[in-house]
Amino acid sequence: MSILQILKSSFKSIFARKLRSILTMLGVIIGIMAVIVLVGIGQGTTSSVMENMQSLGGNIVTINFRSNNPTYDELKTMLQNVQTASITPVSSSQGTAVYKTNSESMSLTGTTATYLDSQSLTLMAGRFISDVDNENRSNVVVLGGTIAKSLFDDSYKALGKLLRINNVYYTVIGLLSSENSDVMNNSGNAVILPIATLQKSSVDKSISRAYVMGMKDTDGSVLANRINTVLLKTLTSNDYSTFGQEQVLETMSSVSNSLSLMLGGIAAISLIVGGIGVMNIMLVSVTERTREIGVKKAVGATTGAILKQFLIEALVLCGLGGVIGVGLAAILGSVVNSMGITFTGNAGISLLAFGISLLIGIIFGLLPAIKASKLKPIDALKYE
Amino acid sequence: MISIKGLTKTYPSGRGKMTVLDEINLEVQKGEFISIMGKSGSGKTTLLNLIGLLDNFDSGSYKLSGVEMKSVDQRGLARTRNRDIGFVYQNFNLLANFSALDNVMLPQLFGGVPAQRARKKAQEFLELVGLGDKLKNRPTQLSGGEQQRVAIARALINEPELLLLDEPTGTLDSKTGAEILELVKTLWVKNKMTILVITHDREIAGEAQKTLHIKDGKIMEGSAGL
Repeated sequence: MSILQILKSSFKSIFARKLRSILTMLGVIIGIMAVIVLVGIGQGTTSSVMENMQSLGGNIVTINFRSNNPTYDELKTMLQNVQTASITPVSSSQGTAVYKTNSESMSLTGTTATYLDSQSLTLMAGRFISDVDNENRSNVVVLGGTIAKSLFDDSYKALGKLLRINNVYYTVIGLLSSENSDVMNNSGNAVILPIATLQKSSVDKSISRAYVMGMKDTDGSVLANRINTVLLKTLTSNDYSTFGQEQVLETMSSVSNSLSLMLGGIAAISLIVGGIGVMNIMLVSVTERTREIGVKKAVGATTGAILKQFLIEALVLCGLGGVIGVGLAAILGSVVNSMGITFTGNAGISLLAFGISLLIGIIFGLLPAIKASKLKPIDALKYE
Repeated sequence: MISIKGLTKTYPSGRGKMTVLDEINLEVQKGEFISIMGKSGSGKTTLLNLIGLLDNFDSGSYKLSGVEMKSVDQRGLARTRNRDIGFVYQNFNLLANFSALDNVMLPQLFGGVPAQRARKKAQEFLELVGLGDKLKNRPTQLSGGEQQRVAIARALINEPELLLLDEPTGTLDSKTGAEILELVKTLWVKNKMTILVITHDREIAGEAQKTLHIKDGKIMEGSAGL
């Protein structure tokens, strides 16, 4: 028999035993789908977390002051010998904002123009505070989209309006997009003023935090080391702590890796269970197939011809299951994606899962066939 | 055509062995139509299976067309079954998932004949046994007599010199059985192949040129001819 004919007869035989074929393929389909989807979700989550982190800037060092807080000018002096792209101070205080009958209490952030970049924020409308605003101690404010909406009902209406914060009027000059607002970056509720404006009425000019951005080619950990060296000349290690993106990245990546590993493990179990399903069905159908083998041997089929037929049949069956599994995984992946979970397809894993399923199908499809094809024709014919 | 000398076949039974065929001697000439009769358990089916190369024997010699079958390898046996022997069983042994046409085609395909030619020939043979209008029917869509006709077409499609029938009418009613017998006879007259048929039916035995009686694994003396 030619390969083409064997293929044809395989399809015939697969379609003739629809239930058995579907059950066999189901194991392969579920196994492959589980591997691709779970590994895809694991990798997608990892890479989306990494991207998020990296978008915050790979070489930004955050300094949190606990005691002996310096002023912005003092900090600039301390860091004058460290090459930096920007030093962004943050001074916080509480306030109540009132617009007509709406009132909100909120935390105020006093900072400089570089805050926008170092926090990877985007403006929805208007402009961000500028160096000139700081020099002039202008009464201007930039609002997050969420808070602007609650105060002005429609956030776009806020632009240019006067907002009373702690009984002082400020002009709303810009609105922050709250689109990529998350736990790390609550830009929707931000209320940002020039640091000089915020501090003009208070005696305490110290800052609570600073973001130091390194030059483009400076490594984050190198930058953190340099900062620590100079800060320790005037401060003790109890006064402050530095926190680099590197550290966050490392922590996140180890979390993501264990997540991927866990998902991969679950997927591998599905594949094994699927494989056992394939094995069971193949073994169960042996009775029926043994008689078929007997009939074929009796009319002159050689052992080789019979094995070739079973091999191709198992390949077709598991291959078909594999293709369906990959297809369903792609559909499921896009569904998962649309639900907001990042799914990354991985050709290597898909191929591996496909290969394993194929192997399981061949081994457990072929083993009973080998056994049966070695029987004498009369024994195979009489097999019950 | 067939030359059997001292052929012995045993089956394991409990601790010992049970002798099913005990030093059988048999000569069959080309073109002969021989019936084999005997009680169940006498060894007649075993003998037919051995002649049809479906089973192997313990000792003795079996020459088919002058070739000692004991020394032929598995591949050679498969080829001989394919080309030289047609086998018809009491229970038909058709593949349930295959149409009549596909069942009849099988020996051709395993003999290396291209599908298109095999299909055409299978159609001819099904027409020959009177089933030209049921090519696509599965065995379950055919009556017992029709299934046996399909089996006969399958046995004959490679035009073997030897046709073996193991109680071909055993599960059929007498009218259908008679029709099958008539068909076999017609084919024999036309094709001049050698026929061995196991039967309980004296009518079939009466059609044969010779009847062998088997008892306890031996061919009874003087059983040749009726």
